[in-house]
Amino acid sequence: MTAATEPRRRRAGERPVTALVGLALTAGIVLLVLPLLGLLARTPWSRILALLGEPALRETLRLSLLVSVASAALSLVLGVPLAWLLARVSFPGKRLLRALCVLPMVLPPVVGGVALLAAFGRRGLVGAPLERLTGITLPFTTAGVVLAVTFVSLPFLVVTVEAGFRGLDARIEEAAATLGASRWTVIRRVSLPMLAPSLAAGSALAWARALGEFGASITFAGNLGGSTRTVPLAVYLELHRDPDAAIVLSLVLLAVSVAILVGLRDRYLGVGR
Amino acid sequence: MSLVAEVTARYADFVLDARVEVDDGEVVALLGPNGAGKSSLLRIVAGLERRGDGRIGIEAGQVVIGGVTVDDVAAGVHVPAAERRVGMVFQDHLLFPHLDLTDNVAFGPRSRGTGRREARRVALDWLERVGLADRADVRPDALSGGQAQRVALARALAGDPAVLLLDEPLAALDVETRQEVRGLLRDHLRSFEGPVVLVTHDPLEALTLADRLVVLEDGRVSQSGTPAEVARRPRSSWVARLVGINLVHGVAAGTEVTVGATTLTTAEPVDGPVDVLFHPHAVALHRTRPGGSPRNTWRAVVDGMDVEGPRVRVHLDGPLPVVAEVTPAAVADLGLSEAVEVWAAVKAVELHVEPR
Amino acid sequence: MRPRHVLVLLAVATAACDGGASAADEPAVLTVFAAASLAEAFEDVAAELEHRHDGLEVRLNLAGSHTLAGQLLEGADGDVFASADDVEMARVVAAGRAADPQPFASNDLVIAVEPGNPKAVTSLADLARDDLVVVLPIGDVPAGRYAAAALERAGVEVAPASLEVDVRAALGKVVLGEADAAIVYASDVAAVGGRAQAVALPPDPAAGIRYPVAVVDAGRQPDLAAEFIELLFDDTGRDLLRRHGFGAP
Repeated sequence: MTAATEPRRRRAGERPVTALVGLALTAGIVLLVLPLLGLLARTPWSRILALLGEPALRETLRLSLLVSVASAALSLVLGVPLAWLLARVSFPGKRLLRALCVLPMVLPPVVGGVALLAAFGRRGLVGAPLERLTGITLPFTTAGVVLAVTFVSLPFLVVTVEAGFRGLDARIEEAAATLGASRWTVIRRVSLPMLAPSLAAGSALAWARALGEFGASITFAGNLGGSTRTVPLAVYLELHRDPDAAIVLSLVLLAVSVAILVGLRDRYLGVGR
Repeated sequence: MSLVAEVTARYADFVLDARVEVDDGEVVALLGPNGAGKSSLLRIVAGLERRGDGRIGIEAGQVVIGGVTVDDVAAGVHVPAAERRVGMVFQDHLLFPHLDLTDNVAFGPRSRGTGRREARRVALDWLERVGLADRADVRPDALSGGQAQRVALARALAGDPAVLLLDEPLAALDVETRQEVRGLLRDHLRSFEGPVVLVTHDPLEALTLADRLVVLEDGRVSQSGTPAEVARRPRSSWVARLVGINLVHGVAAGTEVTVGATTLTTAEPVDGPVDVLFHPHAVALHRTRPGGSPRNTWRAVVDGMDVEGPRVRVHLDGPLPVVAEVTPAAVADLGLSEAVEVWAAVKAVELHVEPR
Repeated sequence: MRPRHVLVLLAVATAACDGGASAADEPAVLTVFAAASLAEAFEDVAAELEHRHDGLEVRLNLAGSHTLAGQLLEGADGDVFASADDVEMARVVAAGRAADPQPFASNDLVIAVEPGNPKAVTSLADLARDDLVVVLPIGDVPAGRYAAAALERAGVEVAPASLEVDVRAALGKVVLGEADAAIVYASDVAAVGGRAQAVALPPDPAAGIRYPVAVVDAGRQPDLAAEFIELLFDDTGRDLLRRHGFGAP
């Protein structure tokens, strides 16, 4: 008799919990998937090709591609040494430096834009002397867009590549040294190739983030078709002008992002898989 | 060419202060308990322990490889590892996972300037010599532990080093593989023309591969000599235990030797500080204090037992930490096990006394 | 049922309840959609109305008229809509969300420059100079349309460094020093105090910058909405608008 009633009593207590968990799961999935489905539902499939053929749209896509690739390249150049420093060298104030490197990830992008103006704007710490001495200004230029989007996407690369460095066995580099490899040869033939997976993942993440940046870009670099109006800015404008165009652009960005995430095959979740 | 390393180095928990000399063609086994500084000494010779990075470094001394001074603290000389002609084999092989075997072995020659094709030719030659030429295109992760170590040896030798250093090369392998690789090692170490230093804590490895043993204990050389010399006359408890003998230090006055709080009676009169040596099978164990003829007896506590074939080695703790060898029947009769108290006894004639 | 479950149910039930209390107990909220350039002026008008009605909260939804119209077209809840031009108001009226718009204020275009006018900007023609960094409001917003029309009437072609999404953003660039000049409303320059200087333009009757206001149909506070609009037309309201740089309709 006891054997029959006990399990039932236990199950009765579990049911509300299971139901709540199930509810949370459903809600979570709905929250994530529904907006994407909604986008697909509103897509003007019949107009897509016509819209994608429009010169203004293509100009925007071309600019975004140029900016995001340039930004990813810049992130690589700046981020890899930084990641090496954080992974391999100990020095006073390291924790602060790491916090600063991650800061743009948690900062609202517009705030990032304001900060960039304070540094690189015409009256900025660096921008003012730069203009005075060379006549070069960064706001309102494509270079300015690259700077702004790199500011927000660099941390993604640094964090990923730092993990990659940590996964690198320093003793293998020692072995290479005993075989006669100079510091540079070790980096070139051992460290970098072994780092390749995390470099790829970090660059891809940084590139995707740069592609989608809005707040810092519009605040720092402004909004002009052909030079500073990237896809996210165009979507914002088109939303009230020609919603179909906005949706098509959004779809393009969405498709690209999904392709990257799938292509990375979970590597962005943590190096070493 | 030869190797001379005379160094003092400070570490977190001990100080390394040793001198090691190895002739061309000689194989020296660096032996000692864990933490004695063997690997550290090897790394110093390889140039991997940097000075001035805050943590560790050579405080004093010099390292000379093949007549070239690569380290001289007094003169401020430190040749970086990459510029020393050192070939090193590590316990974990440390092969480059992203290169195939040929590129791994060719790494040394290529780093030193040899062209790609020539380097690959040399590499394939060495892979042939270690019996893995048929797998030249695979990556290290496809190999077993033993195979990987063979490649590691080939990689170290392909660089044409002036000195060969091996840091516990067989420790990570299982017993059967160890035997296999040991054979290969012996052949290559014999044919290597320069000095060889082999770090190991396995006496069998030392005895089969080395021409000379150097024992490092607590950062200092406690003994140096051929395997036969060391086995015949161990100079520390650790070495003695290694060789299978009991050794205690004491002070002799005629046939009375004081070892700590215990007094032993020996058969040969000697004076001064001495080492007292006796075989484990000379130690008799009793549950109660033995009467009869005057013998050397003391109370001890069983600290552990190992079965070695038809004999059991009983480790004893007490005023004289020694090992006794008895039969399994005796173990049963005496009811021996951990923490059991016994009386140990050794006849005077079984005690060999050597001046220290 | 366990006590825990009862509490959860109670909480859910209470949250689901709405509108049960009478209007007198609930604090009233009036939502006003207003063009960004009306920000400071409407804050004062809102404060005046709140002063007259105890417990009233006036919420100002400030953005570009274009964005506001878009929101209303998407079905956003609002009680009053004050646009910076007739085009946006017409869109909202055509969609049936507002009726009977009336102009309540006018504005003038000016060129905003750094205090002291260091680059000596005196007219629209100067904006075509190579040495000036000029920003304009984008053509989607009323200010942008007015500016483009004014430039065309003056026969001036400008290559702007940026087309900002609302007129305050354009002014902001001048205040920050990133742009040398921007075409904005006189009221905008008034709003930033001494941080920018206005270069007046010759009076242009063809400009016709008028601000229409209307009650939003299906808003929940029609009486208060009507009162808010009346306030804009009486002496108090007119005084406030004038002080903020707006002209009579």
